[in-house]
Amino acid sequence: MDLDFQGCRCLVSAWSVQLIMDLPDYAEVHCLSNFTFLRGASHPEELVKQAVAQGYTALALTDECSLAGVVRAHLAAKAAGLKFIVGSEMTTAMESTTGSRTIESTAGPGPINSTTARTVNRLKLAFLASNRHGYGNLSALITLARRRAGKGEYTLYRGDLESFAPSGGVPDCLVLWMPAEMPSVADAVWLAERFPGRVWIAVELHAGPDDATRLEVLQALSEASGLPLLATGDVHMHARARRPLQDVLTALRLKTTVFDAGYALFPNGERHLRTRLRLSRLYPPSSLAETLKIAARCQFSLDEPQYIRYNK
Amino acid sequence: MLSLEALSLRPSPSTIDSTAGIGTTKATVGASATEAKAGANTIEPKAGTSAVVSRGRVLACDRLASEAGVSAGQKLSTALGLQPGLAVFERDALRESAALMHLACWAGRFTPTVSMSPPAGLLLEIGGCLRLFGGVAVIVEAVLNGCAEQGYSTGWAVAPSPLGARWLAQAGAGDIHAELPAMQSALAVLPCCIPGWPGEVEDRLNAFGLKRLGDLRALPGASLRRRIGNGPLDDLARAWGDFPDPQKPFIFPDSFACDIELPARIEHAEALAFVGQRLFAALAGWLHGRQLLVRACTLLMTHDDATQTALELRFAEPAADEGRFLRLLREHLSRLTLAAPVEILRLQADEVVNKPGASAPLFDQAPPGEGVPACLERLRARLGEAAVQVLGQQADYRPECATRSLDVAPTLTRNFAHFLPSTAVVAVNAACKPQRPLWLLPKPQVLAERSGTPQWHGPLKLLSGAERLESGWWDQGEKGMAGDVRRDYFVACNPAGQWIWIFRDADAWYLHGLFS
Repeated sequence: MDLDFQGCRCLVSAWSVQLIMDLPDYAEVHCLSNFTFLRGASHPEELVKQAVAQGYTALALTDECSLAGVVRAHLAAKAAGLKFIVGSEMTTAMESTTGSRTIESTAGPGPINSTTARTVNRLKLAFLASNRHGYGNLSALITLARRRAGKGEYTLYRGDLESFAPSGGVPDCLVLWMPAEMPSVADAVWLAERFPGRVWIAVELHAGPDDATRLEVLQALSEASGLPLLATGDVHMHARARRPLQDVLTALRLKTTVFDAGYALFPNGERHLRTRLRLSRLYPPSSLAETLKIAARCQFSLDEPQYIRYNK
Repeated sequence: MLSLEALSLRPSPSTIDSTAGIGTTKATVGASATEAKAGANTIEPKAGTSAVVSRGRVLACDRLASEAGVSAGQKLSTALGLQPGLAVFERDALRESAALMHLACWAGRFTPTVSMSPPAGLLLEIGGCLRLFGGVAVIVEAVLNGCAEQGYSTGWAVAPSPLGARWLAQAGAGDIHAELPAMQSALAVLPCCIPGWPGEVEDRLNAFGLKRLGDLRALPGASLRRRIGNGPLDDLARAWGDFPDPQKPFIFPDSFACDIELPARIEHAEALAFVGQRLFAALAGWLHGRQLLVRACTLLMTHDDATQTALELRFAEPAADEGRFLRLLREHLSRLTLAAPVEILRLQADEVVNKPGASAPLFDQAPPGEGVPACLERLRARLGEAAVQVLGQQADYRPECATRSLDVAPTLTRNFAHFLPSTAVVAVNAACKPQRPLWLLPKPQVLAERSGTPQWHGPLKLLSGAERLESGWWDQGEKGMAGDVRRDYFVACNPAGQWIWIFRDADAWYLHGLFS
């Protein structure tokens, strides 16, 4: 009996090893921590720990228009030996089609008047610093957007992303585009022109009502615009168990209760750092492989900036 | 299919001042085809008798003539010998087909599905109208009365198959056979000449000694087909109801204009009212068939000196009621003096408007103006305020919680149609429209599993990727609530082609809804 049992365990462990060996490598590049107020439900340290446990190649922290969490995440990742990427998620503001926006000069530097702004779609983007300069440019962009709005808010215009803007098209940053439900090819082309060779279409599949159709739509968009597809997780928590907390945060943000929040809540707890086995079942292999290319291109580490020390 | 048939070529007892060509109309009314074959009446000057002849033989004659011994099929000379004063009319195929079309228009009031069966038959599909009219007998009576009022004599039958009804009507059965067996036994005794098969077929059947249709049915089909061809046997199969027999529907014309050539010159305006009746009956049927109302129409009288008088009838509000047309016509005619005798009457609809749509109440006992709110009021009065509720949407991912019952009170103060979706419910995100089955089971039903595949009347094939729903931790453990739900939903299909909605949780597979 004992022998049999042993044999069985051996078989099972051999099979598991085989499975793990076959799993695709993955780097999560769209991830929010609790430094995105009332959206992210996990500490940066928890996210790093979970990414290590899942065997991720790298982890990016992309808090919304903020770099507040990156130091904690950097320290935790450094300790755990995980590659860490600095980034930030931002959504452009609604604009009028007239092309001439009112300049809010009192709140900060006015937006660049763009003559080419003809579409009004909001763009949800994430910027990842690929090197020291990219980090600086991203910081400048965040400063620009934050100074334009009141505390806790930000305003980013499409014109800010034009190459002649002060933020200068955010050079040395990689750009992820999270398309809306009905994405427009014009937006994809606009992005491809602004960020040649450094913009991706983020595919975020969360076992929704019709993931297959969503994937088809994005594949068509990719073919029409030439932008590559990239698997990302839109991570809001490090583990599925944080779902109740995430629901409560959503309700608080909307100033309601979880009973009444309804469809404003997420339909499931998929927005966590999922196992690579699950990811391999949901995403096309090429989109998973694309995350590794991004991780390889992002060579910036927070150890790099050396601030001048003033001696007494 | 019920058919009501009116047989042509039989003079109607009523004598009429005008005549039309011979037309037989076959009317299918209601659930089944009812074939009504109406023979247009040949009409004589009041004093004498009349007959319609074709190629020297009598086709039809009126009652007085038949009492004198004139009958269909006689040579004209024989008929004239029997009834020297007989007024003879040559058969006019054009006028017959025009009369049939008028009658088809008129039959639009009984059923939307009318088909013409030339030369003199009308088939009315009445199966769908039985409830509306209150039974077969009522429809048949209305059709026959209408035909008689317009001066047509009819042979009719009601039968489940159109061809069966037509043959029975041609034989002058005048019976209602609502069921197939009854119709089949009635058909079996019909003589073989009724279907009007080619002469050589009839000769051959005579040679075989087959006199009745039932005899043909009793013989082995294959060998009979070799001898008389496929046509007659296919006809039999259609009449017996073995084969489907779709009919070409009569298309109500886009505009209405119809004329009648009067057999005798009419000198008094009042006498025109009778002929006008036939035209207005056709107009009313056409209006009903096309769901229109007429605002103005013109009655054009052509006199024997080729001059014309136009009588314009204009209605205060658009109408489709034949009685109203006739009352107005009589008013006008009573004040009209004819300049010359009238030869041709023509009626055309000048201005028509679409009939305003109105929904019939669901509960037909409810008097007009009383709808759902009144019904709800009564139900609440009888059962109690809280006992009557309506369904509203609820913003919740858990399917069993996506609806809830709501107090009915707001419906009573507002239009019912405005009530759903309820304003009380959190606005539903327009983007959130996942595929959901129409029928959700009250409780998920555990499915058997065999070699990893869920079973429901056979192994299930998953048609969609998993839709993961995890929600509701906040009412876990509360009584009557769904609680924390963690499921992967799939659309699945079984070998019978039934589409269902199943889910898998930590324990098992469940059936939760039916698509089809």
